[in-house]
Amino acid sequence: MKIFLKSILLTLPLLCLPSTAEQWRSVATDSQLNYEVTFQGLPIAGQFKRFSVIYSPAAKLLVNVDVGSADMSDDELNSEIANPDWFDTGRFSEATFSSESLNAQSNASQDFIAAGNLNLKGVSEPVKVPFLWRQDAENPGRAIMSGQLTLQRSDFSIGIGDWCSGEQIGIDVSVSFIVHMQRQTDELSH
Amino acid sequence: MNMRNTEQQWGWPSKFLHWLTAALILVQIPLGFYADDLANSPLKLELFGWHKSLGILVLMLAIMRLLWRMAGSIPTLPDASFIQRRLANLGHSLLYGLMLALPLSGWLMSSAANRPINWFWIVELPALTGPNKALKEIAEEVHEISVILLLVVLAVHIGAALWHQFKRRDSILRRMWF
Repeated sequence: MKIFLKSILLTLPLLCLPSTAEQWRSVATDSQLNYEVTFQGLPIAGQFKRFSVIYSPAAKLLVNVDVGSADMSDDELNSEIANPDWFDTGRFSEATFSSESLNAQSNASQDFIAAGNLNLKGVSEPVKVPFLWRQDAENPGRAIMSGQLTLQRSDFSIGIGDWCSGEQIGIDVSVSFIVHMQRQTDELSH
Repeated sequence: MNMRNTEQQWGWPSKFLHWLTAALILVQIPLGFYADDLANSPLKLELFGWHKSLGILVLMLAIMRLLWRMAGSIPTLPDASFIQRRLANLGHSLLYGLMLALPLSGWLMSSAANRPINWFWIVELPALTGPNKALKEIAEEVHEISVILLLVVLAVHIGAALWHQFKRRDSILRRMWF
């Protein structure tokens, strides 16, 4: 029995060691997930206030977005985009991106492309998310990932009915992000 | 037709700006009420796009008219009592004030509500403020009160012009006419 306990205690630290399954999680403070669309030809911006990112280098990128946290800095706009014509947050409160492949871009070692599926408003579409990964020089447990991509809102049935034409509110949506990431060292640290 | 205003006659720039503004206001008031009543739709946004563009045009015309008045003179008021002259001046001051207040409060409302204004789909107007809920509500109040006030002052303005023309039978309306 003693030997058995001892062996368990000895293996415990091994389970806690950083391994190939190195994992990073977003830190909500300072992290931004923004989007921009045209309003009568001019840019109008919004942001998702609640979202999380989990990143395992060379393995997986997972993004989870609380669609209901979309904020366009105006009460009327915020209640409009929650409507069934737009995000329909009553039925689809969450959007997720899950990578299928994660590749370094050829030109620079800090550039990556995560290819996977974006599930938004009940529609799953293949999307490529390019991002720059910059590890903090002073604190190797911290990093910033940033990037920009353009989506077509029509691919996800966002802005249906009369809004389909894209005449007043453009079809292209530019999504940009700056996410502060924290390395998850072991299970005991949080 | 003379360009400068004289004691008896408005010059053509004043006449042109007056009647152009009159036509624009005639469109603006029903357009604003109609668009406001619509459920949110591309049509509503488009109509408000026109409302904002035309409103800013009214603002520019009002500023031009004020500058033109300051640069020259205006026809003299007809013989009337001191009170009547004061009322006439007050009425015209109110009209100018409203021609500034309505577009400016509308512009402020748009900016405070985080909506850019693309003037006639040509020029982006600068935002007067960042998103600001309290300011939006104040600007909205000012806009709504101003349009009611404008309807009243316009009724008096048009009524007075008709009274001059048909009751008093003087040259007041004719000197603004072509």
